[in-house]
Amino acid sequence: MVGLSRGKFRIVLLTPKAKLLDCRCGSVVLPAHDGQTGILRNHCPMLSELGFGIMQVHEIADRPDAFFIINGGFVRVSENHVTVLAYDVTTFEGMSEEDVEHLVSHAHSVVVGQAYIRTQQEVIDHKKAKYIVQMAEMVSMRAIQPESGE
Amino acid sequence: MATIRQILHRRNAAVNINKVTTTMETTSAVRYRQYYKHWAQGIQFYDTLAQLAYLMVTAEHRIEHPLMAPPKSKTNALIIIGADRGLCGSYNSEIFRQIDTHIKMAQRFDRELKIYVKGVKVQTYLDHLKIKPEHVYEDFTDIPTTEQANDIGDFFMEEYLNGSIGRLGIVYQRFFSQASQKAQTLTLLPVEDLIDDLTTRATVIWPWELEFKDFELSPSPEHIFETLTKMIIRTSVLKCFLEAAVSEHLARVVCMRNASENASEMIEDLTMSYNRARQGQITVELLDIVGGVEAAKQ
Repeated sequence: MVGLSRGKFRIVLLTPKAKLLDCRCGSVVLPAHDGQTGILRNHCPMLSELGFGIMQVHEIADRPDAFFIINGGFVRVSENHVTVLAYDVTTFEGMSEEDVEHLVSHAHSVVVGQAYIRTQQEVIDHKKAKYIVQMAEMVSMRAIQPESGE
Repeated sequence: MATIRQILHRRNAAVNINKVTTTMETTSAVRYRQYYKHWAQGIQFYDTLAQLAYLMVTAEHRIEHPLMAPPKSKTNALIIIGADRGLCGSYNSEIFRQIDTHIKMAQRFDRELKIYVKGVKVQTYLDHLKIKPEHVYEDFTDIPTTEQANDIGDFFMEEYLNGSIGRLGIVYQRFFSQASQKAQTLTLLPVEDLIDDLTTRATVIWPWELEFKDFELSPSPEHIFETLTKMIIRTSVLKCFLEAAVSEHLARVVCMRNASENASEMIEDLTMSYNRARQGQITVELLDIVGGVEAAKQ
């Protein structure tokens, strides 16, 4: 049993309304305030502020990799426990295929309509739309990879 | 002695009351379950936030922040969260008792009170006390959206920083568990009081042996503390509204369930009285007929 969890650590993603992820994984890439941060097992204790970007969780037992768009929050790493506190999270997890398609196509249209950005909120929405498109590409790539590997 | 018609009227009234109370119970039960789920799933988030706050305030190197500074003003702001409707037992009256206490304390210590209100019942009570609230939150029903809660939190932080208020408290019904809810005031500003309250709760204990000095911080502790403080205040505002909504709907479910049970008992009693009275009337009529027949024979 020890061998199964070798190289893995626990990750929890929390928002005020729900616990979105609680599992053991092999690696995590987080959008920290100053760029992407990668976390592996036995990372030193760390407390960092998060920025706006895609959080990637890899090598999760019995399920595919998970992706979340996070806008601000904190990450605490201590004793192989990674806790991510996020206020605003967008994810495809738990969404139906139709909803995901709708979200991605809407994001595409926002990205295309870049010329009309005026307010600060629109800048954030545009950035978020870009991340949604990027996340959709990552998810589809992950879905294709195992087949190509065989 | 009531007539058959009167008993029937009473019974119909009890049946109608039973229908209303059962419907209200069902509606509140649905909302209660929905809000309770949010509350239960959010606990870990709030606890972790409190743990981070604990970590920051227990640092050897003292982190200074304007929101931690002692109050500059003698004006206290109070957000009072009550219900829009009654029929929820002592829910509103407990909040009113808290309001009375705050008013008395403000008079005793020469403080000015700025009251911000959510809920029609609280508004009515303040009208009765001839107190005009500074603002009434009417743009949401039970719980504000994340953006609305952020705006509320940001507004009071601004007020505190420019010295317009010296303290911010939220009067609400705190939800401890299904068996225990209690009206109380959570002090949000100065933030020191809030962190004190959050970190001394039984559920929030720093679970590791690691200390502040063991952590690698990015960006600087001051910057992290500023963001953390904002996040704590904003989420605390949201949490108070959520807990108040959970408590209100639970109180209404319990109250309406009792009312429905009482109405059912009343319907049973009145049905029995109605049948007895009807049977009595039939017996009297039969005796009259029998007596009339006997008299006719003679």
